[in-house]
Amino acid sequence: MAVPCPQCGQALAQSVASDEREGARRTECAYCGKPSWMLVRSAAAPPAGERAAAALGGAATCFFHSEHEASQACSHCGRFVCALCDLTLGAEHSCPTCFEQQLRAGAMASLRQRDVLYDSIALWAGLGWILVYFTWIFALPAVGYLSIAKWRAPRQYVVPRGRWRYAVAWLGILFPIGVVAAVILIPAMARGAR
Amino acid sequence: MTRLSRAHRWLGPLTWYLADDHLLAADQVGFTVRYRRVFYADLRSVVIWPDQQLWVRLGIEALATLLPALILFLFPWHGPAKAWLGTGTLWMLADGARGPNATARIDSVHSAIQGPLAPRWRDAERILAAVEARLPRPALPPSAPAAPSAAVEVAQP
Repeated sequence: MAVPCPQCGQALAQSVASDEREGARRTECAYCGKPSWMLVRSAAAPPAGERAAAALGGAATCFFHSEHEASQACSHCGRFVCALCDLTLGAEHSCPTCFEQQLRAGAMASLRQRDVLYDSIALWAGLGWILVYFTWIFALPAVGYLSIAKWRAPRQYVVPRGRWRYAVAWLGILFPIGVVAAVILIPAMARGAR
Repeated sequence: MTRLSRAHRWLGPLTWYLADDHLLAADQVGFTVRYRRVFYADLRSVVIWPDQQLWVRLGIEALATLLPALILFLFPWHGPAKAWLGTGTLWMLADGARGPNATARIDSVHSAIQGPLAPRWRDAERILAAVEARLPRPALPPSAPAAPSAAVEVAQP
């Protein structure tokens, strides 16, 4: 397998193709002399697809193919599926129906293409008003809405995150209220003490 | 899911994760993360090479250190200017000591991704070793039954 040099475009992996070595190794381009680290896998044939075994008498059969022996149960609906219908994503096994339903609902994190970081938006709203002070009045409902309506979102990202950004956003939003309260209350308490 | 590396860019970080069966790139731009997956079974090659970003960044850091320091030196007290200059110099030294940046190209059966898989050139070996450890081993071809050794043959009556 010829891998082009990232600098000059000439074939970098001639030696890899010839001696069939695999694994990470440092190399230098024979043409431009630029160094690079490379990991090359031999172009082996992909593994052959699973074949569903024919069902024998008494064996559980696939929900979708009554002539095939069941090899797994769907992790979501529990239907028995054969090797042909078994869709594996990480540790989960899905039947085609559940797979399609979850794909439409966007519920499968392992298939999701994008996430919106609502907790980061709340954090910026909660602290960003300091730059333009009068936007505090807009930041307050924004942080309130995001931290309630999207409370669970950070845990459901493809790479789950903590919810500390919501807490920091609330600290930033409540800070001026605390300052105003302190300015009013401390002199009042001092007067009361006298 | 294990975090492999994170490269900071102007618009947001690019973070790589090692999942059970794929390599996940989380590309954050603003408040949106886009995901790209390269399944280990489809991976063909990964090439990492050093690039020249470090010199550009060191130049920007030098400007960001010197210009405010020059302005601060116009004031009668020179303490803040010296502090700014010292901090900036230490920052540049630390950045330079970490070595050049690196770019990578990941080729799979279906697509190719180019981006900072290893943020620094010196991390390239470690990153590739971590990826290699996750790659599925190719199935060995069925071997012929081993021939009886000479010692066994001698022991036979």
